[in-house]
Amino acid sequence: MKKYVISLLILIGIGIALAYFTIKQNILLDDNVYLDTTESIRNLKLIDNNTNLLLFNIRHENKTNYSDVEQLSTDISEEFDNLRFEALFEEIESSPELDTATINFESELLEKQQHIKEFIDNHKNLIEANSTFFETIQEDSPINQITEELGLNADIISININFYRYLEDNTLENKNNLNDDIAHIEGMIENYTEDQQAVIYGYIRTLSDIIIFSEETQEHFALAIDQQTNATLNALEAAYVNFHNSAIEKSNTLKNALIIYGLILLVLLIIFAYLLRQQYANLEQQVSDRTEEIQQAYTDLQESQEQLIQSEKMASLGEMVAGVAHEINTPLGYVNSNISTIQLNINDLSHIIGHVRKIYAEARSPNRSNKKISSLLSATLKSYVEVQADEIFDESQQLLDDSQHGLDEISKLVTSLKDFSRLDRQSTDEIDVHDCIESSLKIATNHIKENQVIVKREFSQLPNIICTPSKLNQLFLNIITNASQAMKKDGGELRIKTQVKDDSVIIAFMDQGTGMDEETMHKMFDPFFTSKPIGEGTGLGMSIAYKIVQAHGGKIQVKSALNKGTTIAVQLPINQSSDS
Amino acid sequence: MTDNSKKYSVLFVDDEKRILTALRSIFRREYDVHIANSGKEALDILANNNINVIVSDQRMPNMLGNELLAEVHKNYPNTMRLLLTGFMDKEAIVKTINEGEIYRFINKPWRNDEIHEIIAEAALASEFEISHSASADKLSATTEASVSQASSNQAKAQRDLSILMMGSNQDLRNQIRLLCRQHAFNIYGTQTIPQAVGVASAKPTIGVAIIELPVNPEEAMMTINLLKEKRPELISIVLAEETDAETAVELINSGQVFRYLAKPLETSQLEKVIEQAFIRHNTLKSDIKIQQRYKVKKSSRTLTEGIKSLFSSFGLTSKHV
Repeated sequence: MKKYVISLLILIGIGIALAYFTIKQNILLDDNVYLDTTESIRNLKLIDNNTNLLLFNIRHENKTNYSDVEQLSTDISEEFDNLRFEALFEEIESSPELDTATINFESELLEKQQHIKEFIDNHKNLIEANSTFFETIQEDSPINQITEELGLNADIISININFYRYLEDNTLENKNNLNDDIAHIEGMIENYTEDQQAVIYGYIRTLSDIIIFSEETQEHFALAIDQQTNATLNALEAAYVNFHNSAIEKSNTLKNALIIYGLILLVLLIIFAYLLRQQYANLEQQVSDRTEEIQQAYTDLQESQEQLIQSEKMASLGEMVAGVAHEINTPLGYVNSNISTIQLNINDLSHIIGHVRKIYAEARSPNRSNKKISSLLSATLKSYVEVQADEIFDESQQLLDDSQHGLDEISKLVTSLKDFSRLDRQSTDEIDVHDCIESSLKIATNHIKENQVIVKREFSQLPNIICTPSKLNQLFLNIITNASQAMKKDGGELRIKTQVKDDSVIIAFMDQGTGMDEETMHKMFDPFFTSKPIGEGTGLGMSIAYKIVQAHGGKIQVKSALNKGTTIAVQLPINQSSDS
Repeated sequence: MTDNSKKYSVLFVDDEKRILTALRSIFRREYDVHIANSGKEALDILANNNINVIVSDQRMPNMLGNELLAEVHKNYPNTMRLLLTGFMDKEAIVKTINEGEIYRFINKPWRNDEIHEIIAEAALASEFEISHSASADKLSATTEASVSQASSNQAKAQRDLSILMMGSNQDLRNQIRLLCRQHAFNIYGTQTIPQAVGVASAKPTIGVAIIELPVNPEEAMMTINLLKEKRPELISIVLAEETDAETAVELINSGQVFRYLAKPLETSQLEKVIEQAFIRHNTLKSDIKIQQRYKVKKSSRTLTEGIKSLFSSFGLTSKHV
């Protein structure tokens, strides 16, 4: 059973773990998160494109809506922060690819923003320089006046043309052409006045400023545009999608595992159910087997109890028979002996009779001789004296009387045996309790004598009661036997007192024996309880006595004091027919 | 039937007067018959008369037969003691053997010719009086006396005392062996009845036989009977798992067994019994006539017949005899 519990616990553990991981995985797979994330990435792309568009506008159409660009920059940072720290935070934590992609994008973005900032700064400067330049080349501007004065129109025009050309298309050739033109002017400048020189230098500085700003602007613009924000965003998106897909895959694996687990569980449950059923069937078999065994044991017990009761009966019968046999033995002994002795005596007396017969014959003889008769007579007298005929005669008389007495004793015993067993009478009878007591006492004579018990009868007038005499005899015999045995040590008196009380007779047996302690008294009616040494009592005697009293609707009361004696009072109803 | 023939006096004790009348009628012709109604009365008569044989009933009020006979054994050892019994009280019977050293048990009811014969034997045996010294002497003293003619030293005499042991109980054997070692007795341990009889016949130094009663007491009884016939001075002590009245009666009547004891035994008890047995043995050895006092009832079979049947029952040839 223990292994089942353990395997069941393991299964439950696996189930809980699987469920936990599946739920966790499903949280990662939340569709809203996916949608938010992809939308966020799309937003980032959109903002990035818008930024590029704005940058183009600024760069090529000389718009000055820088604040829009800055706004977009802020937007993109915010969006990215949202993405990184909220929507994708856990995913980034758990996926290094996603983390790398995010970091890549971030660095690109930061660089791009740096370039945009530089671009905007340079562009502002460029716009300023341009306006300065346009102011410089107004019709009445110093440079035009000087050009007019010095006849440098063609050169200036050439510079201007190359300048515009360069501004239009800032190739290295155009730049060189412009530089050549400027160098040409500078080559001639020493010839001019200081004022004129200053104006020309101012002009050239403005030009070169424009060129520098323009180049810077161009460079940062290109760098900003060229930043791989879009690519890294795509990579991020791809990484995220990848991550998402793998998460779906994992989730699917877990789901499959759950399904397999469920299937396994189902199979196991079926097996368990099968085993349980089998065990139940087994149990049922066992229970029925056990029940049968118990039934058998109970029957055996009943039988053996009956046997024990039977053997107790046989034992007390044996004891009774032995006791009676012993009682018969004594008269039998002397009757037997007396007959032999009388035989001897008759032999002795027959001598005298022989002599007398001779005298008689002689006396009746026709020719009788007085002398012969006289001698025969003296022989007879001699013989009479010799055999001590009187003594022998008296002795024989005595022996005959004794034998008669002995035979009377024996027949009395036989009668009491008959009375005791009551085999010749109907089982339930109206009887005198005193008769029962007397026949029980007679049967118990051996015990009484053996233990030197003196029986004192304190009988009062009793009405006849209806009972089962043989049972009552057994009851009294058991009590008398126990009482006698209790007085084994020093002998004593057994008082038997009878009286009528209300509707019942009470027969009390009071001995002066060893008595009983509380414990023995409590148990004395229990079957198989005995205070006698092992092998001497079955422990059923008093239990049977109790049953007999109960069957007669009576009561049995015990009073006892250690070393003083026991009183057993049997109360039997007068008008109660026994049912046993 | 003259007065001259009434040379023996017999005392019958029974609480039933008619028994006494009957017994007196049987014996009055040949014996000086005394009768007593109780143990106390019997002791009074013993004090004032020389009684050769006392026959007592077992069950009497105040003093039981075995108690009376124990008393008689103590104070009038020359009076032959018999118990009239109805096989009822095994405890009393065993006590009578061990404390009363009884001559015979007589069953009730008796047959006149049988009881006649027994009393005649007992009366005859009573003539061989145990001298006061012999019965009272201690073991060492008797031993000294018995071996004085051989003029050996005491230690050798002690070693000359041998015990025959028969039985298979290992604990008992060990106990007895240990006891014998302490007292320097020789011991002959035997397992079977033929062995025991053989050893007892061959070794005259054996004075005491300790016999563990086997399952079949009849065989043991025959052994004891044979031993007694072959070696009347041999003293038998019987140990039994459980004492039994009928066996006890048989042990006395056919074996004059010295003691009949129930196992297990305390060593001190056994020691005392063995010592007493040797005293008895020496008494018997020193005065062959006294052996009459411990005569046994004649076996129904002759000696050779008995041995033959014994040996055949053990599948042995007769060359051991």
